[in-house]
Amino acid sequence: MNEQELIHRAQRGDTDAFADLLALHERFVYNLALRTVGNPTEAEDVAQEAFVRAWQALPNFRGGSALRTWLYRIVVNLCINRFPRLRRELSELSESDIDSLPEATRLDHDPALRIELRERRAWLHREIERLPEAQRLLLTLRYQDEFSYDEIASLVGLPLGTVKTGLFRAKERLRQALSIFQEEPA
Amino acid sequence: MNEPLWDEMDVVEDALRSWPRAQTPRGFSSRVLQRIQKTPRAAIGFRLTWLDVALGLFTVSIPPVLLFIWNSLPLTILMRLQFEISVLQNTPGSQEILFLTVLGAVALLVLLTLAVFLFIFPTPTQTKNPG
Repeated sequence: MNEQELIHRAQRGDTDAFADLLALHERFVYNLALRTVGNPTEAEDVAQEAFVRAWQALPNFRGGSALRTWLYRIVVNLCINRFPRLRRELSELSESDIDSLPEATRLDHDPALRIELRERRAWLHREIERLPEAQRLLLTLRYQDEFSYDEIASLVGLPLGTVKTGLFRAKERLRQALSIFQEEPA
Repeated sequence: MNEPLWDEMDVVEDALRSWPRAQTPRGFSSRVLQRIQKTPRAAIGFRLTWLDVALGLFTVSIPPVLLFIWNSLPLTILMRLQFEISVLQNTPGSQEILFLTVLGAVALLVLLTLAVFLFIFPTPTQTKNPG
């Protein structure tokens, strides 16, 4: 049964169909919450609440966007409502002039670089956890879920330029952290 | 000097893409399902928004407003209108014009109805499913 049929059945009150939808999306929803709030207990609470609200509002879901996008919007709104700091951080992400952002290029898969890369990755993963909530939210949507800038702007309710700036600043902060890592003696 | 910067950005982006996803906590689904069993939800059904009410009121108000305007017209304008209508009725081919006008109005009504249905029941657009 495809997702569309599951949605139609869940809209009519079929909890089994909703359980299947839950299984499809729970990991993504939980991870977005976890990345944003940074605490597993609070993340589970947000993710549970998001699914409960999705269940309540599902009859009104018209399929204008993918279900996951719709669920993400619920998660983002819940996070913003529960954590005023996130709202403040998002509103403080101001737009500035960045003409173009370079798209990711693939790294050379030189085997000699792999070990070093693994260490750097681990370091950076820890640094990502230490970023402000708003930046973690933007990075998750962009790099984990591969939303476009436009989609992210729509999801978090920010202007496109602000989203680009927020992402650029987050990456710049990580780049600076990487410089520190590289300067440290082995 | 830009080259090292973008090399580092590549590493940053690589780390962002490889940021591991956590597993959902054990029993998460069952806890959610328990909660939804106790959660009342709005049944699928008729739901009125302010726009529906406004459109309904507007549509309902059209005939009385037209009647009021017709009754309030000055006698000279009313007679002029009646004269124009009688001229139109006596014009050769007026029946065809009337028929085509009615046909056009019906076609327009059908198109509008279709547009309204498309608005109410949009075709699901499959945006990219992330992840």
